[in-house]
Amino acid sequence: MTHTSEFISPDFHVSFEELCVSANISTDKIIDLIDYNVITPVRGKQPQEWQFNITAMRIVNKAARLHRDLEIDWADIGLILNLLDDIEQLRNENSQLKQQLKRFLMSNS
Amino acid sequence: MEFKDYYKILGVEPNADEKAIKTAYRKLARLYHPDVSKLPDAEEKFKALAEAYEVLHNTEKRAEYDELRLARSRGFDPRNNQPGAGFNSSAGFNSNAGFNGADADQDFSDFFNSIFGSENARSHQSRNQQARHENPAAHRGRDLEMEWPVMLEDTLADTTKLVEFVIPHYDSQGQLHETKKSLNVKIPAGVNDGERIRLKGQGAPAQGVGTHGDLYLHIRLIPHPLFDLEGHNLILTLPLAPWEAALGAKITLPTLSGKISLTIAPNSQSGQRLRVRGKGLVTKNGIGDLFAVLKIVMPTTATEDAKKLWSQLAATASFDPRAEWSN
Repeated sequence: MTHTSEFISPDFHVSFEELCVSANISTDKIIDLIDYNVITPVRGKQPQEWQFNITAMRIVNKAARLHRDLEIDWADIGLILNLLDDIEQLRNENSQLKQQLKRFLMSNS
Repeated sequence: MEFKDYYKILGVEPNADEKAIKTAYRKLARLYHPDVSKLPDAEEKFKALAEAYEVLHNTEKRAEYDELRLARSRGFDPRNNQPGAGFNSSAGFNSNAGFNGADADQDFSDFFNSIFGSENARSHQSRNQQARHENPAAHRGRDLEMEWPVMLEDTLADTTKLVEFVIPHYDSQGQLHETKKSLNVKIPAGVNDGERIRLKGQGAPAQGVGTHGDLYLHIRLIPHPLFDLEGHNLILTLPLAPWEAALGAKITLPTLSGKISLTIAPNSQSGQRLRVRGKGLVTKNGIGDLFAVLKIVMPTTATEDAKKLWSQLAATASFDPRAEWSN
């Protein structure tokens, strides 16, 4: 077991380059996503200065996978991601509401 | 080593043409792709599909595979002397972390590697490899992701937690090793359920030369026995006796940060929400609220005296709870 007494602070941001490398897609495709408003840099004016949050990283990687594995056109990726996101949000909301409802219903009826 | 019937996996006949194979793959891929499917074995099924497609839609690979299949049907397996690289998935891990855009080649099964060789697979032109050759910086180990349960109480202030995990990696002979590791991680206050935080360079080492991948902790807020989540607010269901709701009461409420006192007004209703400001979850821009939702509960038994009192009340009260029914 390797134990380090080091205290690690997590990263909440990634650079433009790290984004490209992680998703393994061209910079053009990532710039498309920014143009489509699918992701937005949280800071920086020039690509070299751009910083993205971890959510953007996940979005880009997901987009890359869908494009590669399901052959979805890059121009349609934004819509697909939005729909998937909506579904996820609805599921979470549903889950929370069910949990609240359970408090009021008798458990063994 | 188990023989994989790629034709069966794709649901096509062995003499299917290129078009039929592509159509079959597309249909199944849309059903089982982990990003769009909630089926429990989606990831596994998709991996099998992707591997089958990798072989069958490539003329050379398909030819080699067909030869093997034919030989095998005649009772002869030419691979019997091949050493296989064992691949055991580590418990508690998402082997496809969902962060690498390109799947690492060790995603292919032992069976695949035994025909096409793991060296061959790495340098072979596949859809993934094209991208990798264009981007030489992509020589890094794979990212790892771990589900990380966190108690609601722990999100109220900055804390440091010990994270223990296992890194799977291959040595130069292609043998799988697992290294145990532990880290002290600073978790800031206000992390959300579902949020991911990145520990740079704490993932798997690269095959050969390259940087380590990253480790992602997928934060999961552990459901609390008393409090339910509603965004950054907490909901507490507050049971009241009928007389407490009728006469009003002073109730001691639990919160994530100690007990508080709440006054219930007379003639309170079930379902009423009473807001307690600043006693919800901590967020990056403030604190949510706690909502006490009243729930009037009946005792399950009554003494004779109690029954008499209820009867008196019933006789004298002129309250009709079903007034809106009569029309």
